[in-house]
Amino acid sequence: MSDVDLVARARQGDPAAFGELVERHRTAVYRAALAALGSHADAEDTAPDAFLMAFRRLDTFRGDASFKTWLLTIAWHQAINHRRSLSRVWRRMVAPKDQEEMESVLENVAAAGPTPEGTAAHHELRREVERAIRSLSPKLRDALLLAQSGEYSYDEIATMLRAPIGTIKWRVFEARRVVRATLQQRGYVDVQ
Amino acid sequence: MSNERLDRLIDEVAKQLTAGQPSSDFRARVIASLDRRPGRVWRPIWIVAPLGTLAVAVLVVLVARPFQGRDRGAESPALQRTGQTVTAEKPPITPKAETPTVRRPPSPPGGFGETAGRRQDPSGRAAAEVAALAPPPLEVPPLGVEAIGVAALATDSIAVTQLDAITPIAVEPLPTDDERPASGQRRSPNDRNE
Repeated sequence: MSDVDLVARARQGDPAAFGELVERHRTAVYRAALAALGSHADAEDTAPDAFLMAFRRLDTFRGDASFKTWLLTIAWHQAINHRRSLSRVWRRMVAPKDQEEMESVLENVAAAGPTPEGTAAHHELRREVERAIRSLSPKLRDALLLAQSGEYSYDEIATMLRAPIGTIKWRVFEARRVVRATLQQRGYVDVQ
Repeated sequence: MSNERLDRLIDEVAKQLTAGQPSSDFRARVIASLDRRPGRVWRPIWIVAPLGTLAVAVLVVLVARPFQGRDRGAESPALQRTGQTVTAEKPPITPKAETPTVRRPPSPPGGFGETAGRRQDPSGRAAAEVAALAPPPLEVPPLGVEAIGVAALATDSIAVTQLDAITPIAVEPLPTDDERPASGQRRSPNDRNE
């Protein structure tokens, strides 16, 4: 059954149909929230709200874009509003666990090098790359993270960020360039 | 490290930053919130607010009623003394007790006049009884102040003594242009003194 059929059934008050839509797109919505917020806890809070908002606005879905694109636009705006809220800033100040959380993820992912020294160097470089990505401007960082998440096409990203596809591609390219320059400045990479 | 390898590393880390899955009960939480949230949000607004308004209105009426009766009882003796009628000062919206002015019984000999006869409520009668028990007004004798005799005051003369005469100061006139030196040089103040 297509998303459009499920939307039609959900509009008629079928909660199971909407539940199926949630099941299909929950990862995409969650990762969009994670890209915007950089925290699993915040993404867990925001993603259900995005579905709730979408459910309330089902009548406004006209089918011009795919349901996934429409849903992602709602989720992205929900996440951006959350990012701007002062409460989140306060939470970050009180419980700065997200950085540690992300670093532990990176530790697990760090590719094993041939020697312990090589592994340590690679791990350090990954940390620096992550720091450089986090220090990017929001526009560049959002484009890079969404593009590299593997969940969204450039069309979808352009709709979410309300920018032309060419602009999104340029932002991804520019984000990489800025990260490289940052790493070179810090002496992690030889200038080519 | 080449740019290509570095870009691959950047992409890999970026992908890792957005990697993750929502919790297993995500769908159940969303479905539960669909059922729960509208009720939680709207019920208090549409039910509690009118009930609260009604409760406040009832409370205001209950509190204001005793004060109305007390005010009427307190003001009647004063009005009676000045000879004013209550109907002249009351606002147009008044309780039923004030309207039957024609069917008033005659004033009691004690003298609370129109208002006392009109008031049938216990608070009015109590005020009248309190006023009847009031003590008579105090008689205070006037304070006598004697005038002070003018002759008794000792006065000194206020004659002004004459000041000493001022000695005149002799001022020598300044020299004119003809008396200046011929060389055109200006004379210094020291020269003038010489």
